[in-house]
Amino acid sequence: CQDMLDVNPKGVLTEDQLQDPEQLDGFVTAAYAFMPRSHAFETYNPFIASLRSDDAYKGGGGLNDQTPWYQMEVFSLVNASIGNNDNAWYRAYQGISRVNTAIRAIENVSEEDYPVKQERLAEMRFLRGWIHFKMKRRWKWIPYIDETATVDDIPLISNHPDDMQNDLPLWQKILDDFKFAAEHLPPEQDEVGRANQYAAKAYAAQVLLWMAYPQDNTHQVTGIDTEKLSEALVLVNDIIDSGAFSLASDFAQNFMLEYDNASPESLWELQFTIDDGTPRGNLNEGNGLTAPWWNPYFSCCDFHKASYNLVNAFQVGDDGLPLFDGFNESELKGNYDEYFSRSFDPRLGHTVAIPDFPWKYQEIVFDSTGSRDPGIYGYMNSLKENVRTDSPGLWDEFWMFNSKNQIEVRYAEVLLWKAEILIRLGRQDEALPVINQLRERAANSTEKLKLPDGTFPAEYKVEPYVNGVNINWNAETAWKALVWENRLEMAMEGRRFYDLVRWGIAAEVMNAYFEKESQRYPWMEVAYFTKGRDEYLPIPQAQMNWSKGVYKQNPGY
Amino acid sequence: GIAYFQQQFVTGTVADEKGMPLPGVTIQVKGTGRGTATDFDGKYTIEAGSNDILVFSFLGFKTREVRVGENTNVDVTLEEDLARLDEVVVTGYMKQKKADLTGAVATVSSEEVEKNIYSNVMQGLQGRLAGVQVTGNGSPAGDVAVQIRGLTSFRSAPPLIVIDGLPTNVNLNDISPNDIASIQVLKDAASASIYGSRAASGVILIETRKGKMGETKIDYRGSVGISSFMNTIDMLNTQQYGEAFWQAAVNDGSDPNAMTQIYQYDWHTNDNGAPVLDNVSPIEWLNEEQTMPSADTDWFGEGTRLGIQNNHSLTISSGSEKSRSLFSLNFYENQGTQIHSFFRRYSARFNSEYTLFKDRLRVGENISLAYMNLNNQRRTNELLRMPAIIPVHTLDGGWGGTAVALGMDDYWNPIRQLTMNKDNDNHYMTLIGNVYAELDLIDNLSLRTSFGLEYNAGNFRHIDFTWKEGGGREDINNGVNTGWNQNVTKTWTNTINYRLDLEKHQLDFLAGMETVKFKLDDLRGYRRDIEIEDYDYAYLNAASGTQEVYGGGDEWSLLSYFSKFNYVFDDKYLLSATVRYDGSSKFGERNQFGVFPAVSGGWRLSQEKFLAESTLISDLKLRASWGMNGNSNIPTNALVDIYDAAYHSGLHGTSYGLAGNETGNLAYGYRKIHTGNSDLKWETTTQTNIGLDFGLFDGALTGSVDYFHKYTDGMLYEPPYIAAIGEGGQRWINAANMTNTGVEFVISYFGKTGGDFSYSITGNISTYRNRIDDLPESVKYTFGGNGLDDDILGRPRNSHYGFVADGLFRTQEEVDNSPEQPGKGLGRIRYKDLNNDGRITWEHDRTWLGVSDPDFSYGLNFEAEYKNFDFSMFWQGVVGNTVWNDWKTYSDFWNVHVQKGVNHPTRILNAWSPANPDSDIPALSLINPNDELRASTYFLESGSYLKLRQVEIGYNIPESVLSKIGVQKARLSVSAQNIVNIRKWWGDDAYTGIDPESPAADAYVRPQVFLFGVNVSL
Repeated sequence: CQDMLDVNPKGVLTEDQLQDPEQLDGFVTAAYAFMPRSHAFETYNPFIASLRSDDAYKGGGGLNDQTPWYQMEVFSLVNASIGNNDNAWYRAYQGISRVNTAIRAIENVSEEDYPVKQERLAEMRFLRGWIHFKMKRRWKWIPYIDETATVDDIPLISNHPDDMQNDLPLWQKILDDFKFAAEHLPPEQDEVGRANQYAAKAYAAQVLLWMAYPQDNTHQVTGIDTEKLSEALVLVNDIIDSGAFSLASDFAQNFMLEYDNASPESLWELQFTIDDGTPRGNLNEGNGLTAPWWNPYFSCCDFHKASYNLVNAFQVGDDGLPLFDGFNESELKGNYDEYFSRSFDPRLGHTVAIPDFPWKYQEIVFDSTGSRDPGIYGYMNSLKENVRTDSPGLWDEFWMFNSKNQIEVRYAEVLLWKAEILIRLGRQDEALPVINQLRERAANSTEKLKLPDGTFPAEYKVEPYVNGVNINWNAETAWKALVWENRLEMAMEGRRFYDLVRWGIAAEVMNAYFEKESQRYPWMEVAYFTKGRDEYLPIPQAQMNWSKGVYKQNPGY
Repeated sequence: GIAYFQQQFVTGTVADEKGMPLPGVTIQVKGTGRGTATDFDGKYTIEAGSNDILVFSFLGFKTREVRVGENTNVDVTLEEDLARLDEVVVTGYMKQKKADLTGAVATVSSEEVEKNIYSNVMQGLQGRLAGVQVTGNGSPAGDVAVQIRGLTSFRSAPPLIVIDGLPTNVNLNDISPNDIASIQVLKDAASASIYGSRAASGVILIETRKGKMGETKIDYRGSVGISSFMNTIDMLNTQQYGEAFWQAAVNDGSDPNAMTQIYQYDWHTNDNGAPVLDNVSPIEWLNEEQTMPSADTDWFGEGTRLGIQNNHSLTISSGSEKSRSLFSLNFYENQGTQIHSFFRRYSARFNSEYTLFKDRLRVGENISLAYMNLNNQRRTNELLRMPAIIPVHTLDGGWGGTAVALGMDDYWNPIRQLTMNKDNDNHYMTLIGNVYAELDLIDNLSLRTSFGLEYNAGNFRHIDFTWKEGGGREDINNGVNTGWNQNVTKTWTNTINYRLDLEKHQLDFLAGMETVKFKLDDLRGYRRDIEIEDYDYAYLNAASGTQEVYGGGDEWSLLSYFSKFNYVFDDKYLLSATVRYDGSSKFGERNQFGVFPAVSGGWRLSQEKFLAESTLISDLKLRASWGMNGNSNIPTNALVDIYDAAYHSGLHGTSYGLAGNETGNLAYGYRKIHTGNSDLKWETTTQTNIGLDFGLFDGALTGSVDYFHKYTDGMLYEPPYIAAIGEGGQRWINAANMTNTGVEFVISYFGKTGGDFSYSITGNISTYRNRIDDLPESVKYTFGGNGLDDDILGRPRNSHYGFVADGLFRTQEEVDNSPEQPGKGLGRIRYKDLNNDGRITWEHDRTWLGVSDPDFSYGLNFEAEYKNFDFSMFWQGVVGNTVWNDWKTYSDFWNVHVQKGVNHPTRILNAWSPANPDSDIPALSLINPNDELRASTYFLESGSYLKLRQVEIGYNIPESVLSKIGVQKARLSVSAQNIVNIRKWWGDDAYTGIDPESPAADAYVRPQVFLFGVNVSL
């Protein structure tokens, strides 16, 4: 009779059924599979960081459509209990646990049984660094979990140990992961979705760039560490000198499904697929809200709207250079035709969807009906993450998902880091040609921006900097130019906010932005960036509760 | 004066209602010691005077008093009465006289069940049983949740339902109430613990009707009726919506004309600087094609209807000494009050028993077969929030819909959805039955074996239609979605029963064993692209697009041994003990078996000499019990770490395009689903019950009081865990303890005024307090609290936590002088600074705000008979609970939900504004910087209600008429349900929503029902 109580679990595997070396790759793949799946409301997608910068507004159907992002966008309303904060944290550690599971499994087999052992370990440490890096930028103080931590240890690992004077030791752990990866990964991978040596070097450089601007306990930058900058420069030069990458001939190639894994500028990209044997496809879940509200092409949801501030930043003077001073004086509201009679950097047409401008290099012209709540968020949509209306990668599920890959490191960005380092090291003259490479490529990227009748919807113009001719190139102007170039090149890609924090100018830039923008939108009056607090999000209250006092809340929350 | 009474011998026959003579009926001459009993043929002889009253009493029948008068022959018919003390009740695995019960058992008589016209018998019992909390809604299927004596566990299983001795997992929607003869609810642990590991939430014992010896009967019961909503909400019409929108915009300092494309406003600012609305005009056309003019639609009216109810039962029963059988058919139909929703049930029952081998062997079966068809569409919330300006249909006959190009948000036309899905229904089949044999081995010893089978199957095939609405929304994809599932539970029970009657000693002993095996399989498939959207065509084979297939299974088993003994001495002292030893496949080897003991005792004081002579007290019994029950309601894989391959695109999928391919198959791996806990064991509930049963004035007034204390220890709990642990970190543990204590009081009065009028009143009132005693440290704040020093320990699980709303800011001065509160302003909600630190913070300004468990629940039943008429009414209510009025987020706020531009009730027109300074409703606003949706007392209101659940008038057609047409009995009735609904409408905590019983914004409110019924017996 006793036998009848022996019942096996149904439809699942137990640990002892997963011990073969052939199954190891399964754990590695599962680790890769995790992060790109961050769902729409728990996302690490670039647009969440974008709407927290002066690049973009939240968008969607009014302020209460995803209230937590509204709270994040105006900063003053953020508290430790707000939504869309805990899940992002939670999901990151789900990814980290997959990585650590894979590492533990790999370490159990010999190189003989598993010839790719070192390479797979390197991939896993790359992913571990990458996930921690994404978290670190958001919350600053996070518990770093490696493969040695047991289920019983993990709750005791603090996000902010008492003996840590600053966050550099935390950065160092992430850097170690990337450095290990850079040492053991091949320069090129047959399976392009896997991390390669240059991606690892790029992330190592990026971590060093954060470490080069050390912060005190209220997030204020205390100085510049030129050693770290020099260390980063070596890595950046490695990437550039390898000759493996170059700027795409047309800026557009970085943002088109047709160029998945084909842009010469891509160091590593997240892979999204469709018609792949899964019911919907492994789509970019995080971008399901950013298509316009535009019948009959896209049903949803009009999130991620370009700010007036950003559009203004694309204006150029007669000399083809940015309007460094007073760029934000022009008013778009109710002044549409006059406004677009000005000249703009062509990257505007690749970055922002504007009524009467072409949609995503198509013969279809975007129009004002694509905006869901123009009284609150205006008429400017985001283009880079979106696809053509007839894209084969589009999945209409009311939410508009697409399978376009997302480039995680662009060669353009590597060039910008190089320029930044050089300027910070007092070698701004060497930075000039680097920045101009980007401007020249921008100048050559107008072909796809024409209206169906062959004309341009606005005058596109961009000129390189020529010392003594259109600019007096010195440490100060070079820095200004670099900040501007960063913004235009990487606009709406979620880099801006983190750059502002890294450079220590977030409060100043954001409060200036709010002051002007609240005259355009009354709802922004409540916005305020509190220096020493708003550089980072609060540790989610749920995690504070579960940590039983092991975690320390970020200052100001 | 003094009367002279002539003594004489009175003789007669006592029979039951069917005319069958009753042997052993006790007959006493009232007020004297004289008594006798009927013989085998129901005959008696007794000496009595003409003014004497004879009292006829017999177990299971109503006691009857007859004045002798001038007759020397008094024939008496006794009416069966299952509700009285002499009643025999079914308790775990055996039968007992109700008088001998020592636990807390609530019983429902056949008469009460007979008036139950719900699809689910429990719905009709709401409020009728003290300590049994039934909650339900107005959906046609009549789903209910039953909770006995408070919340027993975080992971409560529903009460165990035992039908004719067979423990089941049944949903009572599947059983026709017409087939039910009686219901017993075992509330205390001692009564229930014979069911061991499945009994922690209480046990509901159901006996179905059986054929009776010596009768052949055809019985028809039927009713038809209608249901509808009587109290609908006034929603804003198109014009009112426009006005309110204008008010919200000007309150914000925005230009209304810039904030909407739907309305055009003429307005100005008067001399005092106050905005004044001169004219509001809705846009003429809502779409570019000009097929959708601005309308003024009553969406709720369009989506609701008078629902028709039909309930017809035919029962044929027959019995002889050798065999008894019952066959019944039932058809039940309940059309929902929402269009195109319905529930239909077709059921049959076969109960029979054969007596063989000189009455030593009884063999029989009880089988019920039911087929159900359900379309449970529910769009209440959509019907209410759809703005009136949108038409149901376009001018060219298409569907209307939100004007998305004009910035309207995306709500689908609920009428379109209800209509298109009218045939996307679900089908279920349930077979429940057992076959048994019972052998009297020797005189006092019997053996019984019973094999039970419960089979549930369900299937559906739904078309996923393409559609297009006039506002531009469309879905160009179609497909077919189909699924099938079945589960089988096999239960084999063997018992041995020994009974001994020795003068004053009465002993019952039972021992048994039981095995239960449950198995489930399901399968579901979806395939896109069907050529024709027609049910004759739309099968998976016929679709051509991408496909998805899902399937899974589950299995568990139980092995149990149990024993019980009851001992009664001299009808006065009662003792009972049970023990069950239960093993479950869900637990590891270490903890596979659990022991669940119980003891109980009773003292029938009324049988003692010092009370025997009392004319006041006719019955008095003191009861006490103690026992333990178990709960094993966890998934079947809780013990081990489990993984799966998860080749899918969901959040936890493991597939990835490592090779860089855009389409085609992907690499995939494994992910952890769950962490095992091999130490997991039963959750146990220990309950003590003390009760008193009483009967006064010769049984005219009866009642009982019970006190219970229930402690749940080591609750099965899957706590949320610190995220850093990572994927699959969830794990079942035995943690958290909880206490429920309560009191239940039931009282009945049977009144007879003489003549043809009789009546009875039954009331019950009960209360319980729930308290969380202990929680794992890591989850102390999961149920409320600030994460620092304020937690739920020592409080009820259903406590509300949040801010205290302290009225509105009415002057700028108030705003300026109040504590720091982001988003505060004129007309906004002011929150209390509880710790007086000058700031409103989430850490220090939230507190405990009330409990959603009622202070008291009560029911009051009144029945009366006059000649051929009968009347009954039943009131039910709860008092003192605090509920979250979710509807208030629509009725008091313009725009706080994710989707903007929804419609609101007219209540919102009374919102605060400088021109309406006394209102308590916050100023209208298009934005919500003050975060007023936060949990606060603003949304907490009194949940007290009193409802007239049932009122019925019946007429029995006189026998004189019926006998001519060969009918034994015929009764006509009219009844109504839920026609009086009283809520707390006064005071600070007045309920401002629709129905405090269903405070969710999308609740399917109970409709009013009117029925006409016929019962005929041949």
